[in-house]
Amino acid sequence: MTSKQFHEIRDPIHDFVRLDSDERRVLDSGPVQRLRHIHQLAMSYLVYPGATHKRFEHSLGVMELAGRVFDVVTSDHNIHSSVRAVVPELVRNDSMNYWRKVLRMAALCHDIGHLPFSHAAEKELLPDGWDHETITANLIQGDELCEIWKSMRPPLNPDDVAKISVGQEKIRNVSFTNWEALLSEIISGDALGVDRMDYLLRDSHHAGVAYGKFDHHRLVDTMRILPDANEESEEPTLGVEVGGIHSSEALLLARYFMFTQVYHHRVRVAYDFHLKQFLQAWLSDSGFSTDADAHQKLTDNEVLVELARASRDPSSPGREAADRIVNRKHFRRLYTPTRDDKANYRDPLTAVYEAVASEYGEDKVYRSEYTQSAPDSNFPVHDSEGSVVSSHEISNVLPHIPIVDVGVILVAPEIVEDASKLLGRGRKAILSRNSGE
Amino acid sequence: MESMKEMERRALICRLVKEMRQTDSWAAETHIQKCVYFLQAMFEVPVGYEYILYKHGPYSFDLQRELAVMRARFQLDVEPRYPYGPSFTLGIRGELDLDLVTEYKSAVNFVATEISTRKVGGLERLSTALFVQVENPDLKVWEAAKRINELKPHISTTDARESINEIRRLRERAREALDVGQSRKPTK
Repeated sequence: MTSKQFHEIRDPIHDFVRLDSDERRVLDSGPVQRLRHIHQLAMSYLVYPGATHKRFEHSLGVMELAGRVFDVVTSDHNIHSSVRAVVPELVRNDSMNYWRKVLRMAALCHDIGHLPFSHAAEKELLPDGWDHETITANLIQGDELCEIWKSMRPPLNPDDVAKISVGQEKIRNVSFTNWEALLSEIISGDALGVDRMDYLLRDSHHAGVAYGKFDHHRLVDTMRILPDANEESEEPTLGVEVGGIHSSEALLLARYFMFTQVYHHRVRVAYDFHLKQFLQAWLSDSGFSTDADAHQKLTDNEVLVELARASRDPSSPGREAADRIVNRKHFRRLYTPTRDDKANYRDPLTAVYEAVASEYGEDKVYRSEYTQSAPDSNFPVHDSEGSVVSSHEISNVLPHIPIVDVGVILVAPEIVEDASKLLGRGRKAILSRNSGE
Repeated sequence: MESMKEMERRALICRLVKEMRQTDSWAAETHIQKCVYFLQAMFEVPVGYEYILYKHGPYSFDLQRELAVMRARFQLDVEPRYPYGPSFTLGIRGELDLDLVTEYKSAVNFVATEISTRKVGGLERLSTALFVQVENPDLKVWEAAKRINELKPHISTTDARESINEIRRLRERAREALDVGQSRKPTK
């Protein structure tokens, strides 16, 4: 009997993820298996107990969705006439299987560079110029995976996989063809990328919130490569048939709700802060290593063991942060700027931070601020009359989805009552500082 | 050259958006991206953004993030416009911050008048031509045109060559215009 060529893995979001034997070899490799031990949502499980899922299953989901989108947008009857002329790969059948493999492998590997607890302290603890995407690209081009790429028929070029996986923002000084840019957009596109589709669906499922759900089956089936709906531009980009507009609205609303309600929940923000404090103390000046072997050996498991140990050992570096995490003595919310505060004062978060820090010390206060970096909800739509127009012309919803902009001042639980009184007494005067009002 | 401070840089963008709207530019993100690139690459205004060749030509993810923050801080706003999609406009805080930047007014005015009013297709051709010239200053015109066509196959070599010549004309006009202004002259 010959060995099985295709394999199925059960998945709570996509029912089954199907993969071939080459993909299973990559799945079984060290860098991808390591993702079994990296929480998708860092310490969000301390707020949403079900959110214990890992980047491993998310990576499988992204591969599954990327393959589905590829099949839809490259299907002959779905290709817009003007796009054929500027994306020659779409009419070359000989290379289609190659690029489908590259895309799915790139999707499977897109998170392998993540550090323990995902984004925690990445900026502070990696050398300058490094981030998890740089590590991802290095691992894709590293020995273990290159051996697999080379053994495939046809062999995959590791540079192709790295480019599509990491995208144009992170791989500098390398030019992307229209086709490569489109493939990369399938994974990490601002509006319609499958990385986001999978994490919204998966994170909401595990967190037990309904905000992240949308009709992804309909959305994927209606995705197309279209000329950009901008004035006189023929640059191809990802868009949808008009029948997918409501599913895309639901996706982008899901993004808004999940970022405001789950990813930036104030208690999760507090745990992220304490985790960063702990990692900085534990790893001290050396920070995270970018070496592939060292990266492979460090997961959430090692950090959790050390965290528990440090919380019990008064002499351990990072003991206070570990104690705050393990014994739930996390910082509490003091202040969140209102819409009026943002409109009327230049920098209300800084004003409150400085007032509290000067009264109680910088170690008792933390300022967190996040603004959605790519709020784009404008993409081309192939309308019922055969024209390509902006999604903002078709949708009554998309132009009005707010930018995610969340900020909070957290303070140590032991001063929260006093600090609240301080803010209550002099709110207007404090907020006016540095504002030029 | 030292980059501008955040407050000044944002005020400069507010001024640019205000002037773009006065000149009847569509003022979408693409227009702002390309205009700021011209300010940086042609007039050496030290905004400090890193540009790569991306959608419709040179593109800065740093500027993308900055625009999002400025919208969230009410310095900028967007409004839907038929038929191409959203346009940027000045937000309520943006009006208050306009005077925080005192330099580069002539350069901003030149870019708003001469660049921002073009359609996206034209902006893409022009800004890609400038990008290729800045990145490869020693290329001859035909070589640069070929390179542009390689990078953006939907830009023909004829259109690319015309865009390179247009960049040269713009530099000359800018030099004349800014001779009587107080702002920075364009680079050669």
